[in-house]
Amino acid sequence: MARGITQQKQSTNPLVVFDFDDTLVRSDGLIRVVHHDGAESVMTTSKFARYVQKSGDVFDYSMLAGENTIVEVLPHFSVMLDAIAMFGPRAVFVLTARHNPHGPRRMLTSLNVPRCVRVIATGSTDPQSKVSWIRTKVARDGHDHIEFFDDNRMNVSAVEDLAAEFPDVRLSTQWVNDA
Amino acid sequence: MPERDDSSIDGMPKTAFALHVSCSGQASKAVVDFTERKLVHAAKRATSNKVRNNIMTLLRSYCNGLVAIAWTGGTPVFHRVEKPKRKQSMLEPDCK
Repeated sequence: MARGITQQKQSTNPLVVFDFDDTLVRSDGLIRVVHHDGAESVMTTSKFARYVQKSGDVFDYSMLAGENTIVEVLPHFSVMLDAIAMFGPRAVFVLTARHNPHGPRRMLTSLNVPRCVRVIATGSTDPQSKVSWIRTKVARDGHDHIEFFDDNRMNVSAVEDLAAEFPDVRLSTQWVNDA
Repeated sequence: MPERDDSSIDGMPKTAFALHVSCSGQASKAVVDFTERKLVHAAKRATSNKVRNNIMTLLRSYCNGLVAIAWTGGTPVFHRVEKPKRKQSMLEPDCK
């Protein structure tokens, strides 16, 4: 069962961040990786989340949607809709490890998620890439409340470490396990 | 029946989420469920057993009213329905 967002009425500048693959939606499609030596391999989104990227890797996400693929909308999708209703669409961000935000953007728009919910592609499976984006966002925009949802434990624990960096920010993380 | 939404983005046709026609209480032999047909067709054309099994599982869940399906650019997108509208007897076949 998806746990909802922790409502903070006193929060004036919240930041709600969701991972995309296996958090909001799950596809049975595959990600194709062309390695630097020309060898190719395919992996599921959950394997991709744990994959340690090597230099020269080129990722192809076109097999994640299209013919012969099925996409499931996961329970945390409604948590995101709640967050949009509660905090407004500009407070909600989708942070994906993919290299290109267009696929998730297209899927979210087709599911009637407002276009002002931004999709950010970090282009790296390294948890620090998400941490770095959140750190920059908080430092720049002065958020006082962060909610973070991800199916990758490493990402969640990396973001939890931000609590020491921003002691005045209320940080709430949730490891999403909708298996 | 799912209706095509002409406000779709990037020229991708999409439909609204819909349950199987038998869940609407207006089941009739004259009513064709296109999602069911499309899934059957997709299962027939599937190039691998894994894909076929996934489609068949989805089809079974759809016919049993356990999931609602929308189509986005040719991809079935489903979400689970918490309470099936119609309880199906164990003896009743899943799909025609």
